[in-house]
Amino acid sequence: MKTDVSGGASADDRANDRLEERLSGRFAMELDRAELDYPALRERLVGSVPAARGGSGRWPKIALPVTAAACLAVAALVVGSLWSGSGTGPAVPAPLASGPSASGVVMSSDGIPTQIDGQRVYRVTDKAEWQNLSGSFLLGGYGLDFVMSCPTWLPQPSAEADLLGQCGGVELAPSANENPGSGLLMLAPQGSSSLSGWLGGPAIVVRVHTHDPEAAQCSAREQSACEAALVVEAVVWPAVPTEITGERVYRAADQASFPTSGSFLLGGPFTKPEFVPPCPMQPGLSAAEQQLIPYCYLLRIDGLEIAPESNIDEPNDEIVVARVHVNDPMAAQCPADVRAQCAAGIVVESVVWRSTPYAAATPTPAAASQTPGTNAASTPESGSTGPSESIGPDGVPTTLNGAPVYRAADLPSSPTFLLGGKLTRDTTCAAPATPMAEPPGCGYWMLDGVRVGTMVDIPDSLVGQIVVAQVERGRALAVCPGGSCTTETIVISAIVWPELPVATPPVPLTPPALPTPTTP
Amino acid sequence: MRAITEPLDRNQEDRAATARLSRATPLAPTPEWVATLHVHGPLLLAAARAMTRDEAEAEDLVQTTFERALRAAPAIRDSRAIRAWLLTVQTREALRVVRRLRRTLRLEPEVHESPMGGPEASESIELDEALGRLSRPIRAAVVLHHMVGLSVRETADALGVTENTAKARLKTGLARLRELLDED
Repeated sequence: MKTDVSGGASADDRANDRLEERLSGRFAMELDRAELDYPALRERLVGSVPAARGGSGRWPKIALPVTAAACLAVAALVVGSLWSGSGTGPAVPAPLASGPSASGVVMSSDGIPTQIDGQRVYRVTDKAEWQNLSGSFLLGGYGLDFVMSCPTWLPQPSAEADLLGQCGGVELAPSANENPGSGLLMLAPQGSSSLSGWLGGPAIVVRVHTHDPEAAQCSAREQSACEAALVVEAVVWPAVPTEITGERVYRAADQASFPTSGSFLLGGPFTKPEFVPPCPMQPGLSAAEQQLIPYCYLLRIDGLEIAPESNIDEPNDEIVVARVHVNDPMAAQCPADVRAQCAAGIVVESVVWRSTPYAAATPTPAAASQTPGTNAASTPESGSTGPSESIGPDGVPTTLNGAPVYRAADLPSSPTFLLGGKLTRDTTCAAPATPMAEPPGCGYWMLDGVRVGTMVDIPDSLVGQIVVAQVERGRALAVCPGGSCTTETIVISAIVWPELPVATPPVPLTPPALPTPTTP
Repeated sequence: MRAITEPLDRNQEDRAATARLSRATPLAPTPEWVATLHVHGPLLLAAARAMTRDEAEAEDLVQTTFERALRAAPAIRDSRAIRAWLLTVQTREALRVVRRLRRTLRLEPEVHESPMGGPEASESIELDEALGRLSRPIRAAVVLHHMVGLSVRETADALGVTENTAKARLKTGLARLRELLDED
């Protein structure tokens, strides 16, 4: 398959052509296999089966959260209507639109505020105190995504679905590194979607309430469970930084005063459609229009649509601060009638700060230093900037953001943990790696002397370096003499320290101010 | 890879779920739309397998893609456009799911089925292994463009990136594959 991306010398072209042919041929084989397998799979697909059936035990694990997400989206609208005052929800104070002030946050040693703007922040473990409160209150903890098997069919929206859910969902854990599904505090599906950018991330404080009015619509059998359901209204902490290394962070409300030349920082929640909408192609659009004018699959920062050209791919609802610019030079290539629209396009050059520390493409620590007051790792009380870490005598961190970093000598039994030490290639096996031996096959990786597989690309620059990785215990099918065998393994899911540089470092742009567009 | 978490009290959950299902109203896609989706089913399955290198996750992906497609029922009728749209849905879900699964913290690492027997199979295994060493976003680009046959523009759309980014990923992917396959 000839492509337009394999430039270079003719020898390169020929090598690429051969490789493309191999790939194409390989896919033809895969397609043949899929043609054979698909009829059986088809029987199990949604739309091909009666509605009320039990799950296969495997299918719904991913499908259900998606259907639940749809339910949550509906629920979010309900919550939205409560905020706007059109609902009959509990007496809730106005949401903290721009987050608490730095001085209003009183931190605890566990990295979670004890008080925000004079309001007590309850802990998950304070259940006896908060479960009978009327109205809303603040609750601190760590959001986790609990995925489990359950039937795929989505019930009609109902009070039970909003307040109790049908399976899986979002949990709030009292401390970091808890295991999902281990009896943590399950949140009502209604409102849980506002935590989606925070799951598996740092500590958060949410405004919640119990005794939701919708509980009155629950069946008598589930009335008490509905009354006790914990409904999230909003994440109130951490908040969007107001400045980063002395540079102002603009918000959507400041749009009228955005700098018209050079780049600036824009902060707020990053959102994108949960569902990919069908986008019919618009004929005749110039490349500049396609790159600068938001269309169809709309990405937003703080509610502002950003240009398709933007360099951003964050988890939904994550709070980000991005370096952006308007008046992109490409706007000059737009037709006159839309040039102003092109010039107004907000182009993201890079994300310089994010609320979730373990997301992909983490900015460099230098770029991520944050104004005090908005994050557990950088509040005045903690007295540090960036991820907090304690370094041991051998250079390996002993804790990161309050989470212990384990070593080979003291591996915990928990399914996930931080493992630190020197990263080296595994050269203990003479046999070559086999296709099914990753992980934990030979020729791969050792971390602090422990053989590990990896789910992420590890740059060569880290070989021989001290790193801390988020690792997970699991089972892998490996090739063994006489057939396959299952083996316990440890797999790297992310390198969390040192923070890796962004793959494509941002290039400062200084687009010239464009002349006032003229209408033909 | 797939989540292996199970409910703490499966029977209780099943009972509750069954009770709720009795009130459920199944989605009602048109038979024509369902039939259209099934036409593309094998392609989606093959692409999902190539992208995920995990049988269970591939099937889950196809399932999720169908669920979304059934809800969306897009107003596009051109077969190639539908194919590209379905692959877009599937690709973004594949990349999204990885991020989400990494946060669920309980994973069962991938189990990869490879064709068996003969030198041709050996080549396939070698190629599969090399593909498996690519990062997900780069592998997705290579699968969509070089294997499924989407144009660069369609590949970029599916990945939610610009054409230039897609080209860069494809170039990186080919270079990395050549390096892994020692094809220079």
